[in-house]
Amino acid sequence: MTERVRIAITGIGSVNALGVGVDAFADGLRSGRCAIGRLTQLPDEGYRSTIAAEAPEVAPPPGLPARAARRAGRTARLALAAADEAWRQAGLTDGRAVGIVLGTTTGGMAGAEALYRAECDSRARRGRVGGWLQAPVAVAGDLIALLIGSSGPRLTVSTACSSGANALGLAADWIRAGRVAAVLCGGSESLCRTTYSGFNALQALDREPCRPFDRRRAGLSLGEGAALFVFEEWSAAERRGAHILGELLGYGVSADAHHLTQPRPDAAGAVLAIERALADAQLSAAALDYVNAHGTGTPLNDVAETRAIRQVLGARAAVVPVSSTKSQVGHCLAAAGAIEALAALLGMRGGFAPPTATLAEPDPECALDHVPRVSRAAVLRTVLSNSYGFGGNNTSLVLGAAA
Amino acid sequence: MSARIAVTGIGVVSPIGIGPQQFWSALCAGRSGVRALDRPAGDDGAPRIAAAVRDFPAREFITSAHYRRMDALSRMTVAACRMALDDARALTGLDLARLGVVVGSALGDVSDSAQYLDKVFAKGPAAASPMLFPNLVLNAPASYAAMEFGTCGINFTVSQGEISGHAALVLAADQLRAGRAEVILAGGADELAPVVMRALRRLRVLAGQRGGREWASPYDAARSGVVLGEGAAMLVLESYERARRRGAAVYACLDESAAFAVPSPPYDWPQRLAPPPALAALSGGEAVQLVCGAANSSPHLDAVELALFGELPATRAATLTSIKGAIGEFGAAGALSAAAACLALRHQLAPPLCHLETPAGAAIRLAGRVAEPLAIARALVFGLARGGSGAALQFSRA
Repeated sequence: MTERVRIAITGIGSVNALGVGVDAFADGLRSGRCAIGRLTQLPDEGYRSTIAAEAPEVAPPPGLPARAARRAGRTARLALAAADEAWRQAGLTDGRAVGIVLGTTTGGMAGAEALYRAECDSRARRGRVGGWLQAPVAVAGDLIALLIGSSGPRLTVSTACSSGANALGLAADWIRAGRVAAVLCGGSESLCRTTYSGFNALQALDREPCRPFDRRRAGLSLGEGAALFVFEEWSAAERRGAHILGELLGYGVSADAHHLTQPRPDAAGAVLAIERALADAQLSAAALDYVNAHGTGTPLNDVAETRAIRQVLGARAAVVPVSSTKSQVGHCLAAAGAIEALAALLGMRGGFAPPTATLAEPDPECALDHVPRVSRAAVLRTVLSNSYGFGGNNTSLVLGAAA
Repeated sequence: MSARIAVTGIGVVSPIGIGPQQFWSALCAGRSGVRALDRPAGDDGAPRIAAAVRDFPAREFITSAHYRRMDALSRMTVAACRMALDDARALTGLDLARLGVVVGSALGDVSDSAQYLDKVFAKGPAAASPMLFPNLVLNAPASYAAMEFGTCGINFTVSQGEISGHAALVLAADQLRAGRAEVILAGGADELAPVVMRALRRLRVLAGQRGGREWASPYDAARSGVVLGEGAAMLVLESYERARRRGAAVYACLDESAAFAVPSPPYDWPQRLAPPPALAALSGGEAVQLVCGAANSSPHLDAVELALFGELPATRAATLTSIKGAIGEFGAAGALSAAAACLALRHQLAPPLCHLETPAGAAIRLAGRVAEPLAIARALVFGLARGGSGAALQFSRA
């Protein structure tokens, strides 16, 4: 059997409601602070819920040419901030052959909405026409490429709430296939009217900060942010003396083929994704120390996901901590899979299991060790992160500690 | 597993025909789907032509109960999937967990997005449609495809501007070689929508906006800008060995694919292009006889391709064509170009440049106005997006 190509994580970057930078994220996770607060970016009249986990404003990194920076929409700015942090940490000096894989659903939607509105209203002052250029979802990846000087392969994945996770998995595939030796990958998403009003229209938003696995959970809380990673082929990373932060061990995907918004009640698709991820990692479920759940806080997701996790973990479901960091940073849609993989990695590095911060009364139908309310010191070496997207796109990632 | 991948089925929904036979015969005859648009009087005198899909009996191809909820883009995509699967007869004995779906789309369901926002802006969030919203995600077509065929296999949606179709095929090939699926439906779809036309009009990149004739003629000296189109193409990909074992008819083999990027101003085409190393290295530089370019009748892209393919040793002696005079320009058009390349390899005919009158350069031989016989052993399908990402697919005769 040929030796497996291992995927080293050598850089990480983060922006979300817990703050700018990886340290802010780690501190926030450990503290159990819920960063879901008042919605300020959008006018909040007419919504059932008026809360969101908003990320701080970030400026384009200084390394980006001004012309490109001027037109960067919010999703791109969040991605660029996280990408810049990850890239600097990795310490690679030549970006030319580096690949880029980004997961996003809204792209430049927030800006496009404003332009569209101006176009529709003949009385309104027309928006700057160049603003349309930043609408397509692939643009953020183009700007990251500009930042690091990449002429390597570039891909934008858009599979709703599993986009960020898929971006990481596909980036790893590129390295394993020998297409590239390094990839800057992750997910980014910003709040916009379309998603906020859409989830509101589906009555999927909780008026209170989301309460994953709670008996009284009533829906999700939207968030925004970005998480970017630098992946490298392991031996190349070692040879250049890179500081290795962790490892992507495996990933698995499946389609529910069931419904555009509702998960399969029998959780078969979710189980399949987990099993494929474990098989890809060449591990059994017995190796898992922690699960970062998709855990949106909707009535349907949490019970279906519990079913899947319990089926996979078997008796160990009683002792493996399973938490939802959406309780702290909300549901960041396409960025969620990447943000949550990062949360799991930070838990491994920091020696703690992140909490389900808002859990008050566990739902008996979601019987798991949810790490309720406060983070818990724990030695985590192998972790699982789940993401389930609209359309039934299920993705699971298995990550491992550095050494 | 050998790297050789077979294309065993093709499904097409296009402005020149529904299904691979209609598409191919119209293409070969030099027919174009570019037509005058119905527009209200008093419009601002901007472009009046586009290539729209017409007479598309979606219901004939989609049998599941999900049809009713599907948006137009999803219907095009799922119908193309159905045509391709029927064409390939690939499902017999296939474990549906091993059937993958990979779709590329630049803008997704943009017409419903506009309709959705119209209501929100007019009447506030309470008027937002919970029925429309789920269809707005870019992966709706791929998800509906999974539901239509009951497959729980890999399911990806990629969005890479003007190379969305190419990128989906590159990804699908990689996934097959990695053994993550046994058969993959791969391709893409994008739709023509008023909001896109308006936006591009504002950017003044459409045909005739900066003077000149209002028409779609890639590589023509008198080209004057882009003409928009829409459509879907899905290919059935499987390993060549599997195709041979089950006695499938193979259109062509997808030998290699390259994904790369070139220096480019942000949001725009490069004005000049040095041959990307990844492209030059494709198949060790062996000569191709047909190049299906991305040329879309725009000033820069077409010129860049003429220079590039005239310079590249592997393509210097090839015939260069682009099907966008027939189908217009849209993000996933590369999937239809790939379909055309596979059909060209099967039939040994070069897809024409249906409107070409005055070639813009003599660096490379250009296709004629109708399909001409051409001995094609290898065909290159090339794509380049605004912002510089690029892809190339090399197909060979089965």
